Amino acid sequence: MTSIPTHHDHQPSPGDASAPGWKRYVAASHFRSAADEFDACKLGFWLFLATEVLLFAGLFCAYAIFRMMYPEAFAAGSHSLDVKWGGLNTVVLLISSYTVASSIRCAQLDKRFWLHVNLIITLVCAAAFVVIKFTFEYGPKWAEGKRPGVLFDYPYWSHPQEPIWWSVYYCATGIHALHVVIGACLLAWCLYRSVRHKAYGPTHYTMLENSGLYWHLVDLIWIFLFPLLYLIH
Amino acid sequence: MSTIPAAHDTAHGHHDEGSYLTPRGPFLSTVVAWATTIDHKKIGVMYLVAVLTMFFLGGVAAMAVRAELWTPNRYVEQVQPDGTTQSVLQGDLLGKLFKADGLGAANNIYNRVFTLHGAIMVFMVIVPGVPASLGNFFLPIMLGAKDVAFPRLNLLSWYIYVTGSIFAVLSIILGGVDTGWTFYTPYSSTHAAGHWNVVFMILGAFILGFSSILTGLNFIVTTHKLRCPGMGWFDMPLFIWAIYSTSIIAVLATPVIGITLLLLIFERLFHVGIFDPAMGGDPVLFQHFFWFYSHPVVYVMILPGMGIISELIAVHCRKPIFGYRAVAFASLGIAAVSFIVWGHHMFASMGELASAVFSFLTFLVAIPTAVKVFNWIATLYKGSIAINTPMLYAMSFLFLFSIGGLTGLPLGALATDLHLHDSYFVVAHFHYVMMGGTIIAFVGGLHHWWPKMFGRMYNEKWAMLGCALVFIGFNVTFFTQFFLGTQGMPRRYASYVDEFQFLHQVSTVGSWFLLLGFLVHLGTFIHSLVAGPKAPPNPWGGLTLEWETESPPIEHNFHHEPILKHGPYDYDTTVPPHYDPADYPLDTTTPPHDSGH
Amino acid sequence: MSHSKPTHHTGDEYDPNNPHGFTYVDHGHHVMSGRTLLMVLLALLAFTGLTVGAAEVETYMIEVMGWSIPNSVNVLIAMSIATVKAVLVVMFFMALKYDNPLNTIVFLFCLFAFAIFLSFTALDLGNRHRVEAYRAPQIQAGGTGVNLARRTGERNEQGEPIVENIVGPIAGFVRKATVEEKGADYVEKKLAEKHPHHEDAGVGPGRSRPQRGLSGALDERAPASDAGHGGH
Repeated sequence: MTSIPTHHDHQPSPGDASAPGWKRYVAASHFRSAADEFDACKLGFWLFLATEVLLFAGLFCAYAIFRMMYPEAFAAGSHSLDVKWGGLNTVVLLISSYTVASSIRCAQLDKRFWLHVNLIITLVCAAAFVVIKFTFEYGPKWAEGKRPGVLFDYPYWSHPQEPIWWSVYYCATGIHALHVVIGACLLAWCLYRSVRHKAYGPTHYTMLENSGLYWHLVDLIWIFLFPLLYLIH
Repeated sequence: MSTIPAAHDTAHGHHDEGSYLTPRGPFLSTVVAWATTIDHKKIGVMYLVAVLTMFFLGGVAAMAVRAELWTPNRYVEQVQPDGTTQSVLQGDLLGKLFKADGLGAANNIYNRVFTLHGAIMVFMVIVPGVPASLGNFFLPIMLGAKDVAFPRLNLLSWYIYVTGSIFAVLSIILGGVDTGWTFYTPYSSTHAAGHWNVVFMILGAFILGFSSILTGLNFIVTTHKLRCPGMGWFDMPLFIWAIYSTSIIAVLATPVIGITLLLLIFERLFHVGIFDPAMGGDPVLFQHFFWFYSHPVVYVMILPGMGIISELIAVHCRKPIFGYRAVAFASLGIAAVSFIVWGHHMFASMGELASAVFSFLTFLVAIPTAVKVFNWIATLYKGSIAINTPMLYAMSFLFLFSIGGLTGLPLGALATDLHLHDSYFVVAHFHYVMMGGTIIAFVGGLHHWWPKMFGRMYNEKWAMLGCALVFIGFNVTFFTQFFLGTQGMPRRYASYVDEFQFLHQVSTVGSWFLLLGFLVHLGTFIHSLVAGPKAPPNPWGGLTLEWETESPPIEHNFHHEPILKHGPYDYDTTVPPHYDPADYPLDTTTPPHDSGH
Repeated sequence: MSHSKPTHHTGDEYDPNNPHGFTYVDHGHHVMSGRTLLMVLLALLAFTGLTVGAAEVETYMIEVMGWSIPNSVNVLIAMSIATVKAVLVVMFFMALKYDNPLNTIVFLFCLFAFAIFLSFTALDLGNRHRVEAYRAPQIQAGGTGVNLARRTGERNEQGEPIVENIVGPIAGFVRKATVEEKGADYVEKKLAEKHPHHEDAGVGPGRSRPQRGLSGALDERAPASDAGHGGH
């Protein structure tokens, strides 16, 4: 569909201050239209997601190289992870990804109540992920001495290069967990803006959309980290 | 009405907007207004100031390095008055300055100073230099836009840049870093300098990466979304093509240095062992990580310079650029090739197969680069060349960059590289490309756009003198280093054998000329700001959109959204707007637009 | 002009037929159907089950039935399923299927850069063990012997942290300390509990390569007695 751009230079009238935030939103004046701005923001955010993927590329690359160098160390390390918790975290993240996608759909359809419900479920899932990660995965392993690099203190290893496996494991999952926290903060901010200002609705939900994309990326990274760390022996 | 209304056209009532430089209110509120501005022009100027400050800092370090190399650091046996001999430390200029005790400590000071020079010049000057200052200022104007796509993000990236620089300066205050700007492991992760010096310097570089990413992302979206009506991809000025290609590289490569430096910080603080051979890690993996970013970033450094040269040559010889599309695609080609050649920095540490593959791929870079150089020369052919400072800089670029490029070939070839690796030949090569390329283009571009940015003309004669001094000083400083390198002088040493002393001293003398040239430029610019004559909107007779607005531009760049009616270099068919040949300080006799009208 | 758009200061001059003019395509506001989203979620959960199941079956085949399955099969299955899942997330949850194609291009470019990064790095590091015959005599062990220093967590009288030096790989050091503390029999027992099916297959496919050069020499320095059945 081709249409001629409409130029936005009208100012919001002071009379409609009671209208929901998304109705009062006016695109920045250097864009031709709100739709153009939305498109630009999304392009910008996809470029940002590309940088995030390449950030993790370093970790995946380190994983691949050391796995190639020390396959037994990686197999042994992988054996000492619990698929149960990893799998549960995968499910948690997948469900949260679904609820984020639904929340954007609710914004598009102007269903604010369900928008909030979906975001709250997502935040609960994010908290669950982090709690599972720390209490059932990092905690016990750290206590056993399965730690990265020079901190390694586990005498019953089966390959002398296991410290490298733990370095890769902690760096990869730790940076991923940091992204989970950042994503959850973004979504919490969206929730606050939506509750407080009714900021997102059919014509304006850029921030929510982009925070959602970020969350999906976090999910995407975990989709690869999970089999690489837990399942490949 | 062919283009936007004339800038001084008072027929329309609302043209009394001041320029972006006009102070709005008292001093303090003006400062606050600048610190919180989202105007890309002000941010560009703020970047310019920040980058030039760091350039000064890096320059001081460079002068210190050259001064130290006047004589080698070494112990000399001296006969004392009482007849005994005693070994005395000589030549440790920096060592004495910083009261270092003994040869090792003096050498260590030298190591810190050259690291300071390298890290500042690379991470804080050349990488952000052109795109963040001139690019920020001119990319939206050349596209006919009011601002970049994300103005607040633009301001944020300036603050990130300043934060990163502060961390780097903090590291210097703590005592500096002696790793070289490449931070190679395991030295950087275990023995180098003080703990926090290294961490802060790395953290500074890590933070600066975010600044590059955000700027690059902003420019890509701006180029895609905010071109003015009538401007298709092939109506964009070549500077925009160069900045666009640069931004692609910045966005795709910078995150990898982000994770590399992050892992290096983990390595230094917690000894995770990924890059440490003592723990089964691999130091060459670090080099791969590092150069996957740092080689593409070499093109982040040079591509904007090439973009500037395209503008300078076309405008100042008043001729359509030869092979517009070839030059534009060469920018993208360089961006693409830049990602598959990083291994040539590691010929001494890689396996044989990978070395051979990377050596082969490296030669691909020569193709798009040569396409550009030949097109520039073809543009000059039969053009009405104006001999002024920007044109002199453009010609200096062609000369120096060609030397830099051609001396890259023996470094890309495996057999010769193993001989020249880590010698002064490499130092000379990359200074010819980085400084003879990027900095020369930057200074040339600064002169070209100075009247537009600040609304004042500069003194052409003094600027040309400065250019001549820079050109001579540069060649004397660095051409000698090719000889030093082929004769076996390794880089990063404070000491050397007597045979090298003459060439080292010639090189040091050259660096003084270079300094003098930059001081002349500084004086010219300050004089221009204080007492320069007011610049007309289009002093050079350019056709790109920045010449269609006032000098300096108004707050929103244009009074009306411009509509593009002609290509950026259509000198054969278009009369440059607002152009009075009398404005042109040193015009040639040939009328610039004698055809087509 | 034929069109009657709201008059903007440039509106009169805008020519929609200009080949370089703007043709704006609205990509942004596709509303996903709730049913599609739910189906995608269910598919994702099913694939998660599948990939876990496949790994379990494989482990069963190797450990209980004693089959020998090449490592690559395991990797291939897990990565294929992960890729399918990722494609589902990107296309539907991230709605790239309905979005501006430019965003897809951006994403593919970044994957391409990733592929280059990984493949060329692997090209070097994966071939490090390969040495031309004529250069074999040049190989020599490197490394310094003393490698690591780590804080014990205790402090001396001056309040400075006490640092212990570690020779050889950290893993060997840790095991040696435990053997000294609890006795060799105890450690052997713990290891036997942990690896009931262990056998030392030496060097072969799927085994660590003998590393040469800087990092490898240190490997070879690993005390053989301490490394136990570590493979070297």
